[in-house]
Amino acid sequence: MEQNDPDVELMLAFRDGDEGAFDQLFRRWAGPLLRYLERMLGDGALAEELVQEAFFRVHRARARYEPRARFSTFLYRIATNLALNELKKPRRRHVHEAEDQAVLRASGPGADEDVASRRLGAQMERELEKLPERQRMALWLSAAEGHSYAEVASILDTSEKSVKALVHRARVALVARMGECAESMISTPHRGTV
Amino acid sequence: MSRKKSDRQRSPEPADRDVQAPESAGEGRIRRSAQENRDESSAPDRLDVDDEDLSALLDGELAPERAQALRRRLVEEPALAARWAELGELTGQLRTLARPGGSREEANPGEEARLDRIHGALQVRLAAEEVLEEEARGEESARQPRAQVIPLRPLPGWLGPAAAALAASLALYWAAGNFGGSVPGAALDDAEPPVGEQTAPQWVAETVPPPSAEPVPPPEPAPVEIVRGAPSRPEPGVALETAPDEEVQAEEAWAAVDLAEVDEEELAIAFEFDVLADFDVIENLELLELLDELDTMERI
Repeated sequence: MEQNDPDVELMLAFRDGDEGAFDQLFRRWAGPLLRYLERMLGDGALAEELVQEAFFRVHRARARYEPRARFSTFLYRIATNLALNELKKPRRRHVHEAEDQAVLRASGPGADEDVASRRLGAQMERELEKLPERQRMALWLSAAEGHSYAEVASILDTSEKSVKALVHRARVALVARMGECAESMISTPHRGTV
Repeated sequence: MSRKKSDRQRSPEPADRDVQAPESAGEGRIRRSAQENRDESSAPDRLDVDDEDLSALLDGELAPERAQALRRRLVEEPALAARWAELGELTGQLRTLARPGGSREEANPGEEARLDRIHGALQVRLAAEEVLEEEARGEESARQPRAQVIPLRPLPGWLGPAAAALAASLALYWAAGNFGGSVPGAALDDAEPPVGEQTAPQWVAETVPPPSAEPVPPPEPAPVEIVRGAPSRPEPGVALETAPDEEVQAEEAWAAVDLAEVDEEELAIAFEFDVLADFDVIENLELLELLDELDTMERI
């Protein structure tokens, strides 16, 4: 049992009938989970659906909940399984191009730095989505969200050793791709798309 | 993510050193010369490190002694330090993306609004689920009494004839009880002719006690004795042992009794009790009461 995890305490309170505890858990974790799923799926609407589904399953599982791990591990494992199921299906939507254009249109003159930063972020998201699923998940959970390798291993149902390898490969591949993109942008600065 | 991974202490994992990263540009095991390894084999803080250890160090997942060894290498080897810096920069960009509003959120509705929308939809769904569960529970509880008596329901084909026989016997009993007055020691003690030899009205008329000037104490209710297969007037110890032509007598008695004169409700109760007792289905009162309730529900 994770004795020091306040989220586990909230979940236990919720299991014992405190509905407010569930709302607190939602407020704490829905945002990070939405961002995670959005990066993993590349689809904001689908990510919202899966956030709802993940918390719905947490709600239904409350009677059976046993604090064997951190609450976030429990939640992210549910969400990851949902995401992996979705990724097995044919991709439904690709919205990044339109969103990137919207970012550029929304940024007025004099916001060059902001635009450059957003371009970089959008590019990274695109390259991130090109990584193999498990590399992408391992890298995001560990490097971006700060889960330990042990937690990532539990979420992805693998070993810590594998997580270490997955994270490093993803990181190296992403650095290489971003480097290629940067060179491409320098050589052709007015291609329209980032 | 509020938690600091650098606070955690991991035990050294020698197995990590065997994990091979893919050999691509700039990747691979960080080799040290054999001479260096020989010179420093006795120093525990000068361990060989994997390329993957660079990532592990960034993520705060490297054991302290390995982290110390790697940091020393980073100071000594500018190329390795440059690579580590590259990976670190990427990690910083990823963390920026992970923050609210990190990248595309401004093109979409604000994250708070999105989360509110998700929360609202979730509440609606949970409420609907609760209603469905309550309905399911209601249906389950409505089915429960029936489910308990299901084993008694599929009664075999002998129920029809047996019930008819019992009905006849009860009809006779109630007819006798209602119209005969049941004076102890009078009608029953008299040597009556077999039931089949008289018509019912005569028999009934004979059993009616004559009006008396003196009040007669009310008779004690005679114990109800169930007579199997013999629709004759209950006479303990007699009906079962006598009447060799039982079937003929039963038919005649059945024909003689006017069922219209029998109270239907009493007949139904007696029939129910007798059927249950006769077939040994019910062995306790609780089950009997349950069946009674079930019948009430069915009537409703």
